[in-house]
Amino acid sequence: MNAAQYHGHHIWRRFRRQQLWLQLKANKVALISSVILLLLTVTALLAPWLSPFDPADLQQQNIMDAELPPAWHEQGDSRFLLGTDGLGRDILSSLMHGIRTSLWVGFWAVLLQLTLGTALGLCAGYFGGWMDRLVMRLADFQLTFSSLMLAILVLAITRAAMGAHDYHVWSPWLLILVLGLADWPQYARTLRASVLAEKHKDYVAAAQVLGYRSRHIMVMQILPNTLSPLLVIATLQVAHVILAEAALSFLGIGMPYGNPSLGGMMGSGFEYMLSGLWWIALIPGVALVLLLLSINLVADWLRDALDPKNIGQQQ
Amino acid sequence: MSLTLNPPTTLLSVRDLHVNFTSRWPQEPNIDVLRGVSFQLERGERLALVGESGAGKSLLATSIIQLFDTSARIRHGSVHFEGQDLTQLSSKQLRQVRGRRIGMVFQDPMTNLNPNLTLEQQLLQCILSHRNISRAEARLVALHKLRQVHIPAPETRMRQYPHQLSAGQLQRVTIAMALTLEPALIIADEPTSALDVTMQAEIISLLTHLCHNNGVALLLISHDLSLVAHASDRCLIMYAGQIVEQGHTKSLINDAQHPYTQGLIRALPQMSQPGQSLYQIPGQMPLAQELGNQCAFANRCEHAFAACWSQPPTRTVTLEREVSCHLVNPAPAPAPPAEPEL
Amino acid sequence: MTQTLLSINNLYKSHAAPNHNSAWWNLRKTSYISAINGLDISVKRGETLCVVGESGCGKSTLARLVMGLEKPDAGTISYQGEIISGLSDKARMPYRRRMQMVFQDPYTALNPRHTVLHALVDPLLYHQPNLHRQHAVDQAMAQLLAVGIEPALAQRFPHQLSGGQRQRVNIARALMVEPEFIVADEPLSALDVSIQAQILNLLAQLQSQQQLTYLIFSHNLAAVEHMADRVAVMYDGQVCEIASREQLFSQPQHPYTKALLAASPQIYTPPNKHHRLVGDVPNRIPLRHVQHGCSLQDRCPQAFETCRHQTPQLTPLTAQHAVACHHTQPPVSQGNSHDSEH
Repeated sequence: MNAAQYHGHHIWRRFRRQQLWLQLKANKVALISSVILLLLTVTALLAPWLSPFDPADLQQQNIMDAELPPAWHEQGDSRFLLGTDGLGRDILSSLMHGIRTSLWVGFWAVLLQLTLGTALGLCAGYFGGWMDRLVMRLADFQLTFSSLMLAILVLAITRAAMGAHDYHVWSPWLLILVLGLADWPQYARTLRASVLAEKHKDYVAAAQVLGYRSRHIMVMQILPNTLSPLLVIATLQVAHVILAEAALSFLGIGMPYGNPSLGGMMGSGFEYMLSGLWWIALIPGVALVLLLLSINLVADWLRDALDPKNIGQQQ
Repeated sequence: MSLTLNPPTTLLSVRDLHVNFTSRWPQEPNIDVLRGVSFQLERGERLALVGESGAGKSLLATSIIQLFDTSARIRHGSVHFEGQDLTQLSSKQLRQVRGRRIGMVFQDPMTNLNPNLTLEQQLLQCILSHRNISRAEARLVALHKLRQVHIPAPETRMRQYPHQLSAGQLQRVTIAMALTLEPALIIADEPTSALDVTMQAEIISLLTHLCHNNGVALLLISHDLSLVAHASDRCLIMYAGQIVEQGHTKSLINDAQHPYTQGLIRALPQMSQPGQSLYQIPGQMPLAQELGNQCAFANRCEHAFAACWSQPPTRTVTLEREVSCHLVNPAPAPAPPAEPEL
Repeated sequence: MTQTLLSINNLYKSHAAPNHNSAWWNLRKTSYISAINGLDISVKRGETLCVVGESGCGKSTLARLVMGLEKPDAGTISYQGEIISGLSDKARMPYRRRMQMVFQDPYTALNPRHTVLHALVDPLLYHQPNLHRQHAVDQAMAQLLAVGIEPALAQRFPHQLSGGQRQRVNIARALMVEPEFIVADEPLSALDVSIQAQILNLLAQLQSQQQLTYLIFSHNLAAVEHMADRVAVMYDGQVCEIASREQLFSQPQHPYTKALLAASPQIYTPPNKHHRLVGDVPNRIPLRHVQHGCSLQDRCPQAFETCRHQTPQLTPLTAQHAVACHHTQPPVSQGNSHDSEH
């Protein structure tokens, strides 16, 4: 027994000891969705290098290539595997960049929500009293606004105030900020409830008796035991934020024009839908569904797999 | 068919019952948690089932009425109750047996009663769902049963919610509820371990007296041998999913034959002088999957010898005792078809 | 000369009660349930003081007050002459390492996400950040050996251990910071009978090895009789009788003590029905009026007039024995006539 062995719950250690891998192999749904998620993520990360065209580069666009169907279609062009949109941009390239944008916004916005909601919920649940009342009233107040409405309001005002050019520079950040700040109450409420339940368990009393400071008890002892509902909310929220971003882009106040996003693509494809050009809207739509589904399924599995209670009686 | 097998006074006859849980992982085999449990219960008899947590006491109780969770499965064996094999019944027929013919008293009365309904609503619901009588009649039955369990002022108590009663009184109410349908058997699973010491003795004596007076058989499950010592006619000692010893309670505690029973009695604090170290059974009960072809108690037994490690002991049946131990039956002959004692 | 380690003087504590009867808009009307009612007790260095009583008598509250997990409403707790009851978390720090606690439910007392080794090493590294990790791990492994846990179990999570092993780990964790005083709240009640003996022996062995002082709360009289040097009986937040073990078990004076002793199940002697209390533990209804007289008056079969209006004080009978009951002491001036009943 040596010192390196003592953090027995370390995720990577468990993966190396093959427990996680074996569990993943046993669960076909999780395996397939994690492969899909991995593929989508890698594609998104490597989009600038992998994509055949650069959607932001106007030089590469040719209006003569507009509205070409996917390559397997008889009128398709082998250069454009998934066809082109109304402006002659390659849909595959836009899709790669779009997934990149969506994942990026989703990740940062959810991280922001998670941090804010966790900090507030943890304090509210652990300290109770006026802190609890203050946080929960703030949460109630926040919940009376629909986050999408708030986002529309803020984005529309800043767009008017900044002017189109500045807005295009700042809009991704603004989007993340607005979507990230608007949805913290769900985390805070859930976490507060779990903390209230955990707080009265004896291991917290034992930690107090051992002389740990409140911050240590909150973060090191209570928080890990309340993570699984948070993880569920966070994955649902990644989906929610990506959808919100898509909706805002669809409405035209999300991502700027040269920065394709799944929602923006669907929005622009929507006009062509009725003229039979189904692929412009449908392909990003399918990609969005695939992305959200794989995130949810992987997160579901991860939550169960990381719970130490699911390690068998025999190691 | 079963009537020819069992004498008419036998109420419940469990034969070679094997129960296992479906494993979460497909590659792991399903392992029996109950491993060949056989016993009989006569009409009106008070039978105690004693064992540590994890020995399978509660699983045995729930297996009898098949009220276990969906991953458990009766792999082998039969449970004959009033001439019917309960393992062969449909779930609808089973519902008729549960409650109507077999009543249950659980450990924690707080969780056993619905906190959102008054006691009257719950008692009447219980009676009316099984018996075809009017509401007013059912109410009279309920009041009568509450008086039997010594609830003071039952008319007012009936209108109250569970949280307004103390734990001891609630447990009386659950006993009353189990008795309302006049079952032939009451299974009481650790009925007093959620109660205070001063309540324990009272609830146990109430339970045993009521069962005796109404001719109801009682299966009393407990982890505490000294609690059931004076509340039962016969006693089963359960260890690692098997019954290791059974016999009349008095003779069993005075002359325990299985080393585990002996250890349980010797480990009681009152068996040794204060200040001196207690006799202790070393180690702990093995898990079902750790057991190979051996005596389940071999790793903790101070008398274990070669045979204990190489094959499971067979049951030795004498007139009033049944023991599974190589010490009692040193030359393991091919197991005769075990006839549980009467 | 034995030194007093812990002394508790005239301690009071009450909890805010969930109020079922008042309407939701009535925010200000918080009612209180008193848990500790003017309690005095002291623990001498090196002894084992057991506090017995039923649930709801304030045992757990007292344990939490002693450990500083709650603050008393009035009264003081002093440790080696220093008052520790009102200290801030920071000022209390030196005492945290000298007094440790063992909890009732060994499962919830361990963080489910920490392995055994992690649980033991963590407090060391927290208090001594400069300690070399290997050194801390070595100490933890030594401690595990001392409480009888095989090194192979060090990497396990709490749910992979048996109840007895969990309680051993709890004891080991408490001992990691080298305390001299251990408070144990019902350390046996969650364990099996055969495991209780093991833990009792372990506690006794650790006490003699490390000169520990124990304050043990329990309702298990058999275990108390085995391990205690002195026993205090608690009822309704007060000590109603305190005596050396021999005196308490051979000559109990208080009716409540007698009832407790009678209710404690004995394997060879049938339960004694003479000392039974009537009714239940008083339902902990928020105090609407100040109750006068002895808190046991409604349950005590021997209650007489004085008990109704005068609270008995803890009065020494001998140097080793003090009782709070009007039956054992002459009533103070005003209660001049106690003619009736017994």
